[in-house]
Amino acid sequence: MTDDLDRYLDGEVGADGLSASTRAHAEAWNRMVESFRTTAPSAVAPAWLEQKVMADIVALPRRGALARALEWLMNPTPVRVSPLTTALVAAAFTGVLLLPPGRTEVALPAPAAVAGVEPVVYVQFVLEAPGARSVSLAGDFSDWEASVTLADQNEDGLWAARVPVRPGVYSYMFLVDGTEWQTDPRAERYQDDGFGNRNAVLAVAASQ
Amino acid sequence: MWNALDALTPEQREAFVLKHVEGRSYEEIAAVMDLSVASLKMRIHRARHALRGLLEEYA
Repeated sequence: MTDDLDRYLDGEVGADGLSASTRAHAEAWNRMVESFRTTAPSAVAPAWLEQKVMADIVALPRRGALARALEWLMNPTPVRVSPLTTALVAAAFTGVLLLPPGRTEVALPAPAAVAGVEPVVYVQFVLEAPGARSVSLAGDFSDWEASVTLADQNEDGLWAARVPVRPGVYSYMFLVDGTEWQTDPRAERYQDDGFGNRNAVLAVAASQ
Repeated sequence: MWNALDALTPEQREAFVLKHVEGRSYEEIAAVMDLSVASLKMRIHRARHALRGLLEEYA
């Protein structure tokens, strides 16, 4: 870290006033800082972010990317889980299945395993895509692998999948016909992906 | 990548995040961190220095 680079980062000199090697450092620095700005700290952010830093960001007038991220981390966000799903999850956890009258067994659909061994909240993902041949889901919870397949069970163009997700804040997209990325039009929040597209953002609260 | 900031002290991390990620001015940060601008500049200088290894990934 040279004094010249420090002066550049403090806005005291422009890039023109730098030597070639310092300018290369300055450009690398700008790329690094940009990736911090575009990568919102999610639920997997280090613990220290939630402590003093966040307290001080809150103390400042709301402005930056972190302040906005914090705002949604702190505000309660409704999770899209149907009451039926909640009941089924509760039943699964307690080992009690509520059987509808006249039925002797209920086969719970096997949820796609993307969240590892501790699925705690089931989230229903739905995309209206009439005419699509396949719809899958990718997000930072699946390392952006389109590993969850949505099904159009009623053949009405409404594709859906129930996915176990650990509490946290996640970005996701739908992949239609294996080639076309689509942003969830019904997402509650969005985030620029840094490549000119918007990812949908899902906030999953811990189940009570 | 946020975990890369583990290399910094808590004080350096806070100064770095407020200055470079949040884009705050030295004066704002110094006020909220209860520091003089000169001490803050030194802290941020040290944070930048500690992060120079990370910089190579963006070269």
